[in-house]
Amino acid sequence: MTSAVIRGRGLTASAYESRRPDLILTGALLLLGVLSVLMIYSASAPRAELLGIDPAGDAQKQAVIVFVGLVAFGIGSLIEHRGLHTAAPVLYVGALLALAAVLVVGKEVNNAVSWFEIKGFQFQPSEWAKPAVIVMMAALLAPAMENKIGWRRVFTALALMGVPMALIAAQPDLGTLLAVAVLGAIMLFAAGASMRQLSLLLGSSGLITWFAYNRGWLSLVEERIDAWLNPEQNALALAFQPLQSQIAIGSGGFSGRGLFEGSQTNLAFIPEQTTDFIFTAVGEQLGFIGGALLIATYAVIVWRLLRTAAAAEDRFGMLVAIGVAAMLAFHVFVNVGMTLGIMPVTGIPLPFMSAGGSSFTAMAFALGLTHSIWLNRSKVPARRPTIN
Amino acid sequence: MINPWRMATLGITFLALFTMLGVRLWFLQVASVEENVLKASNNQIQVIYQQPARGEILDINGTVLAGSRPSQTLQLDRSAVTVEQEEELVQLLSVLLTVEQSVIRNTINSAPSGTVVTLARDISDEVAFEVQEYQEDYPGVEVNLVPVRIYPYETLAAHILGYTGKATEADIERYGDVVKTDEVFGRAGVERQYDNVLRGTQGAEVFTVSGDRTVWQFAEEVNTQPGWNVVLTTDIEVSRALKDSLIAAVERSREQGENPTGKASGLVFDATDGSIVAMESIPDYDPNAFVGSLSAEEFEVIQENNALLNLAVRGTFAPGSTFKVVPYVVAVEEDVWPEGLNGPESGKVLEPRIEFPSLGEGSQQVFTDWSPNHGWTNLHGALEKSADVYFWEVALGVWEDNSLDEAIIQNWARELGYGAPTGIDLPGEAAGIMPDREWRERLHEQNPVAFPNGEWYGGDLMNTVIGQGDLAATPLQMAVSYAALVNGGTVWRPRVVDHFLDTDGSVVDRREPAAVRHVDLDPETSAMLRVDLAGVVRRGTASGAFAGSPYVNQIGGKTGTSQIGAVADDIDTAWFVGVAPITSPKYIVVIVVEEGGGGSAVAAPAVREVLEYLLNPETAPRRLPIAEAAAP
Repeated sequence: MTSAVIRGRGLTASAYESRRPDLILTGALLLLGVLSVLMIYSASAPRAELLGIDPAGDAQKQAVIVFVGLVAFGIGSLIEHRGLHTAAPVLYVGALLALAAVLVVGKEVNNAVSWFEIKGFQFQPSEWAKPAVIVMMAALLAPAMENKIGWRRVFTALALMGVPMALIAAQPDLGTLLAVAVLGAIMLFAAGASMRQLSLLLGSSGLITWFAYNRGWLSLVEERIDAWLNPEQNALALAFQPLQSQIAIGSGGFSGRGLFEGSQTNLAFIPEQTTDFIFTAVGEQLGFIGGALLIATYAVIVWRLLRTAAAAEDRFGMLVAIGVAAMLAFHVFVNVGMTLGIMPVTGIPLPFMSAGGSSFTAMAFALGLTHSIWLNRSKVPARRPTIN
Repeated sequence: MINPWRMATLGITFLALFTMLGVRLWFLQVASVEENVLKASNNQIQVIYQQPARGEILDINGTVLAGSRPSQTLQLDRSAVTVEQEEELVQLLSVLLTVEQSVIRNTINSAPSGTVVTLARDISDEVAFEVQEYQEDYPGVEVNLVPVRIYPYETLAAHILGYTGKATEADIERYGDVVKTDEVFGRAGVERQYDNVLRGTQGAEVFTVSGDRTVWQFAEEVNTQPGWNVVLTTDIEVSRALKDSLIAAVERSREQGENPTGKASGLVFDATDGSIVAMESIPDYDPNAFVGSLSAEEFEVIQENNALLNLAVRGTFAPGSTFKVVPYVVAVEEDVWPEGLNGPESGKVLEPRIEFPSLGEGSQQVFTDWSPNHGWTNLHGALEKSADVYFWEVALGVWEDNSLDEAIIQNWARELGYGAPTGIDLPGEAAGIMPDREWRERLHEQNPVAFPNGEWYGGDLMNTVIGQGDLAATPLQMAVSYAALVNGGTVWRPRVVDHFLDTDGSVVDRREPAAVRHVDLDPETSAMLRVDLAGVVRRGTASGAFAGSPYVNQIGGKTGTSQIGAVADDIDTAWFVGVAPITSPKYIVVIVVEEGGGGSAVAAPAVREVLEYLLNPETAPRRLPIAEAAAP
């Protein structure tokens, strides 16, 4: 505001300014989309060529996905968030139905039923469940006040998280399950849950985990964690991917081996090299420079989202932005951490990089929603009214 | 809206997480880049080693003594199966082979992952059929024909051939990591001595492989070079004749009421070029037993009998009267004669019991000949009748003559090959003992407790000249020294290997006859000795053993009956050294039967059998020209 006055512009001008898109956020998304196509091409082409498959096939598919994702971002940006607030229950219930349906008619891949397949197109409802939970949680928590959230509301929030988490656990998809839990907890924190509530929640989830562990329900998780803590003993089994991934990234060195180069990626020492382990290809081929810039790009997006949260017109918008920021940060940390060996293996994608349509479009749509919140931000940051 | 500290907490948390990623990235890519680059390049290389075929061992006529036979072998390619599949295979194979699961698991784990491991050799056709028919149940399991060492003549020539075994810790230390668990190494005899030649060069195929270990590209090949075939100087038919004679000698000794240890050894030595024509020892062993796996009990049985010991090369015995040829030659060459005599022809009546006061205090003074009735004796008769007293008087002459080196007899013996390894191309040769004052003093200095007496007496020399006392020699040393004495002085370095063939059958290398030294021996002395050795066979101590032999005129020799210690004569060790044809000696045949009794009664008939075999035109060794021998 003050800057507009200094620049000699009137209120009309400042109102116009508030409608200007967030070029940094949009630019970061575009950069990731382009890099995604490039890295998928680079990581798949040499091997596909030797196998006699179309070397550009995966990349072309991803280019279409990126285009659709950008459209989804645009649509999200146009949705006025008050309308979104109203539509939240519809989105949420739709997501639950999709999650339930996939358990019945979904396709089993790698011992998990996470996918619909319709005429060759694959659709992963759990990717869309995350933005739906964010919007629904935001709608629930928006009316509450700092340190004055009633226990009833907290339990409602837990139930809103719990139902999709149970459905996701049934697939099973551990990574997405954790993502929902973490983003929900962060939203509760941001919404102003009291320290007492938060510590009670933390304590009880610890107890539940301990109980599940003792009942042997977490044997799959245990294996993963054991492989992560003792990689050498599991070098040919569960720890094969992370070990090979670290070798690949390490061998990239400071400036990388160059696009289309790198024996680890090209010789398929890294399975899932275009999906969950796409960061490995970045590390091997583009080196520390490329990897650090990529991480920085995510940091920039998260920064823009937090800024959006701070500038949001209302608590609903703030909570949506925080939720999306938490989802993104969790995905990046867990996925990149896995390729670097500081996190156990969980099958969650790297946002806007991993090959796959559901993840890209759902994330881009969620990013679009926060962009819309930015576009409709409060003009006087310090004195924003709350709705309800 | 949002409480600022909550916002700050979130911002700092997210920043911390991204910073952690950046730091870890720096650690991997900048701090430990070299290590990771190395790992990445090792990752994509798989080397498949190929064992060369082990060379064969042939005798001089081209008969295969150690070869290979194809064995139906069950192998597991560990690179083709996962850990879980291996565990399933352990259970299936345990049932199939009726072997404990733990045994199979240990076998599999003994080989590095990604290599081929042998599960069982010589499997039945039923097992092979089962695996091939239900291949999908046995992933990575293959039935292969693998060459396995075979010794068709079993115990015959076993001590020359030796045996093979799997790699030991020592082999891996010597050859490094390239040693594969299935690789076979020579453990004894020629197999060990010429292991490098027989083994050939290991080949390797280097592949670039992908993450699932499928071969991606062929990178490099190091050609396998099969081992050379080793052609021995020996003749397996002579070996058979020698072995039969040894067994008969032990039998004969038992029939005569002796109690032999069952240890006997002999060899046929070519005096013209130093080759070993045959070399046998009993007890013996079958080298086939070491192929595959020998149980600890089986090995213990073989070890207990000392059957692995090649007595001809590694066994030392007091040579007894066979040693008398040395003082014989010293008497002639150094002109030392018994009292009152002045040459080989002059003689006197020998006293059977003799006292030598000049031998000095502490020494044995009284010596009694084995025979009370030698009568008038000169040098020729002394050898023919093996008269101890004659050679004692020669030794006394040395002892009393201050102008002569006190150890002149021992020095001659050493020149002829006693007291040191002959240098034969077989492992573990014994040196024997050629005692003298210096030797006795050295022993005492080194270990005063075990050898309290460091003095050397005249009596010790008396014992030495008749092949007793501390003197010890291997049968091979006897053969080498006799050959030198009858061939005019050439001390051969004995050899069992004649030449090497490559797989095409062409000669790639040759072990030429080599002399260790030429002893300065008057040809007339050598000729005179040959005549007297013939006299031993015709008139002397061996005349009974050779009576009626059609080849008696072509044979010379010397008996020996050595007493171990000074106890009773039922522990006599029997010797005979035969030489033929005596006019131009070619074969030296040495036979020793430990505690077998008298040389003339036990050893001489055995040597007669071998010599008759060698001299008979029907059975004489046919040594083919090399070109012919080389043909397959």
